[in-house]
Amino acid sequence: MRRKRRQKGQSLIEVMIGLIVIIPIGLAAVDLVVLTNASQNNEELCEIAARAASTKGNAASATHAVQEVVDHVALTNVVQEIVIDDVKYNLDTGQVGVSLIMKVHVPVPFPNFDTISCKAGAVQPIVSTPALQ
Amino acid sequence: MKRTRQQIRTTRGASVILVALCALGLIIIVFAAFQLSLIMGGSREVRNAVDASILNVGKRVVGLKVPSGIFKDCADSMGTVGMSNISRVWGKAYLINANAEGMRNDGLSTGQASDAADQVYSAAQTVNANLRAQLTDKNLLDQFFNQLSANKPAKLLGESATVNTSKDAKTGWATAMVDRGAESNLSFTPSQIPMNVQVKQVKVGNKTYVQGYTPFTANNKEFVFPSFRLGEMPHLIADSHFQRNMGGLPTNPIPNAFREMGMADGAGTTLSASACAEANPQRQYLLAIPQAYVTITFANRALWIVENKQVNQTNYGFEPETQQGAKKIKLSVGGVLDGFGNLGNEYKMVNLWRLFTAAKGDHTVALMKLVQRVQEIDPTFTKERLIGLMSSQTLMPGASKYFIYPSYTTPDFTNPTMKIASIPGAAMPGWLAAANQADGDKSVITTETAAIDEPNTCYDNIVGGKSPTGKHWTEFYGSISWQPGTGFSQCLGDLKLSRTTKCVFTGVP
Repeated sequence: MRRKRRQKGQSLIEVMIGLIVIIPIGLAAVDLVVLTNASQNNEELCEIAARAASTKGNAASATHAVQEVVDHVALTNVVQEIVIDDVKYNLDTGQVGVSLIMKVHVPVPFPNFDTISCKAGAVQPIVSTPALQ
Repeated sequence: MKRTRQQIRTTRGASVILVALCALGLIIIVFAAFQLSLIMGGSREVRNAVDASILNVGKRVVGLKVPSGIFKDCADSMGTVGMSNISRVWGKAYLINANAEGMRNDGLSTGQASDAADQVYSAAQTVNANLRAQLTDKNLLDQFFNQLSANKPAKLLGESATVNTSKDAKTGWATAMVDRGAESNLSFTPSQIPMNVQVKQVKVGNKTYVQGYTPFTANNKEFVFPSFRLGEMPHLIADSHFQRNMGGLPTNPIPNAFREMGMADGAGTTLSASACAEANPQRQYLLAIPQAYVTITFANRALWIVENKQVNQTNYGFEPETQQGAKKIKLSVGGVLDGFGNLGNEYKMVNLWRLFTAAKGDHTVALMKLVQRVQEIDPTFTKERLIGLMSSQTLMPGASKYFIYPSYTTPDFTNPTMKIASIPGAAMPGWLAAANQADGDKSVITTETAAIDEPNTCYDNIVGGKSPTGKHWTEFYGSISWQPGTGFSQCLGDLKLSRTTKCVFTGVP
């Protein structure tokens, strides 16, 4: 009778130890999924912003177009802020580069890892310039 | 039941092993999911890179240029022809052929005009073929593709995973001619096309454009202009749309859409994607033969009639003069008549317009012939502007020919300002080959009615007759003939006003 009780207690301890290992892995996996998803969304948003910028005739209106794209994004508890990192509108190379930073609040915060910045960049050809006369 | 020591140890370790296996399984699942997301992300990166790179091709192809050949007046500021101004080349070739067809319809065609039309069509085909070869050159298109794809690697597939086109030279780029039936980048005024000559047109806003990728014939030759929608930029198009527009047009027009597959190797995986882009030079032009001219020429003659019989015919110049056209003519009523004429008084008129309308008659037909041809140089030209131009031209003593020609300030000859000048009398632009003649046949289009004793007069002197002078008068009239030109040799036509002053002497008072 006493041996059986000791065996049960031992299993409980083993399960507890197991959960201590598995639960953090699971929670980290949740954070990883959220981060991956946010990063991909930021990449896609960056592409859209670069395409919008590529149809503009100068750097100012290109930046404005990028800002408009960013402003249309609905922020959530996870995606807390999107800022324009850089808009490089270069008529010499005929390309516009857009870089965005998305601040992501992870659902399971770890120490020093509650908010993570995802940076994405996209390059598009400037299509607004007419052929040379 | 007694359990052995070994059995107890086995049971004790069971949970730990189970937990370890679960943790391992979980880690494997998370790792697999992460790898999958990398591949999916990489696939998305490849797609985005191919889209942007194809779009770069759609933007850059308008920069491909070829020599303009005989179409220097349709070339850009560098003297070359590309996607943006190939329509100008075809437009000029079309107008010359339209003129040749119009001349044939009017029975005024000549072998020279037919040859000119053939030559310009052949030259346009050569320029078109050269440009088409550039636009389908795999190496050039690959360069444009890689120019952008080099800046868009598929990072999720590895640092070295750049997106490239197929290295196989045999698998060239696919091209298409999309937006069939839409506008080309060449607008025109319907009145600038010779009567009864075909052109396919489409209206956009208040402008009429030559219809793109829609074959039509002029002078038994087929013309197809590329479509470039107004206000559109180079953009991506659906593959199905591209596929539907890949061929089936005569004359091998240049394509306006391009498709290619891009692929990236990385981490043991090859991912590929294809995209299609439509180019648009975003420049519009007017249908025109830029370096061309029309002429108005004058010819004068005097007929000398004594007692209802023509005794002489002389020519007179382009300024006032006195001629004796009847010399010592014996009269039936007795005596000898000397007849004189004060001729060329029409050249005292203040300007060319007054001279043009100096004789009575309806000059509208003649004017409209000129207007139509000048509109082939400047489609915005009107009858009122022609009258204004002629009114501004003072008559130059001795000048029999007046040129109406364009002047340009842009190097690509796109902003004509019509001017008028005479030879002799004014310096002509360097490109103008004034000696070239219109290459069609001449026909009389208007007959002017006679005016009595104006602007020229006559008088006589009778010796030995009943009276020192007899009844006399002048009749001033003319005919206007039109000699059309195709424009191949610059001359689009010559309007000739042949004026006659008939000096009539009756010999009796």
